[in-house]
Amino acid sequence: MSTPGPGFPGATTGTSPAYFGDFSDRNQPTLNSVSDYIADARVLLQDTIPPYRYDDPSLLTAMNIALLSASRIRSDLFVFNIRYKGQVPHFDNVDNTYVDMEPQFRNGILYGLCAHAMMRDQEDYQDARVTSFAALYNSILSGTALPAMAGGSGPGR
Amino acid sequence: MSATDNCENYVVQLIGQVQSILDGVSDAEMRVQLFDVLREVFDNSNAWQEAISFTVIPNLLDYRLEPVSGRIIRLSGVLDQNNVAQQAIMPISGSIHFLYSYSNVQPMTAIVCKTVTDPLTCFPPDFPESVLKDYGHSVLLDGMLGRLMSQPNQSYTDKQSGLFHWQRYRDAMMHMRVATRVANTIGAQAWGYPQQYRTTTQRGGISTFNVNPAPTPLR
Repeated sequence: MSTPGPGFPGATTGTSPAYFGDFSDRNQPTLNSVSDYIADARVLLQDTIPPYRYDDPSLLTAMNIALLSASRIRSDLFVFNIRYKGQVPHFDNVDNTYVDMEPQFRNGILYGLCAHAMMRDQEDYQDARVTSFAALYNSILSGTALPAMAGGSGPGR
Repeated sequence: MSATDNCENYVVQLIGQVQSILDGVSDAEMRVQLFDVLREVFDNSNAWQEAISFTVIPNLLDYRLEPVSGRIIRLSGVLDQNNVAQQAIMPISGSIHFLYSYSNVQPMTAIVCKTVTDPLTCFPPDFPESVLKDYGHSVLLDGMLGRLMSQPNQSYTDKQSGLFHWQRYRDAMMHMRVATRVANTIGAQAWGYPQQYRTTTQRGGISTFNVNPAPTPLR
């Protein structure tokens, strides 16, 4: 089945193939592999310069736990995956291994990763960010309204 | 289903409509629900039919049929080479059992009703594209919306709208069933002539059954 996208009139030619309609999630390059998740998590955690505050194993653990928790909230993302017989994947290395997750829920996994990683910190603003990330994680997966981001200040304050 | 661009647009439209209405629904869930809707639709409407030719040999009552695609769920009828209905049943899906044995080799055609098969292995499932084009906006869309909205504790849960779409789905499916029965005609009989009064029976002392070629006019 060919995919609509770059061939359509007016569509720009991009580097990523369109995937809508054939559900080949592997073609979506955003947050495609384990290293993509870890790299973007380091940006959100402000931990991009070695030596890292959050080392790779701890971020991998956070990601695996976020996936486990996602299977509780949205089991349909996993149980219908016959490639893995409905099981939740586990990752041991930060490499280009594909993370089989529907594109619209990938940022939810990323926020869950960040939330779990930051739970070790014991500072007020970090606690607020953890709460915010965890709330984003839940709301994206469950489809409820997004909560307010922590740290923002209203008018007149 | 033929993978033409035209047909693909119908799939994109159907999935897009469901996705835009139901916030937070996953592709996996939509695929599963579409398969179940198709399975229920074909089971209720008998709209997916295939004529399978096979050869009858003497003294053999059971024959296994292999469809081109899909899964056989019931038998609509068996016709001999003179287009005369034969007495056969389908006690096991996909297998024909004749009530009487035949005395000579002859070709026959079985009209079978089918449904989708192999869930999750391919998308869209293999089914006639005419169903998608004729009933995608009514039966399939309302069926998917009705099933998905009726799920508990989802972001797209909406019992009231789910019931509305479910009723539209059931109604459209019955229209589909009737359209299949009258072979997509307008004003045709929705029923078949009572078979006990047909003229090809052995009743009356004159056997016209299993005679090839038939010695008398069949109808």
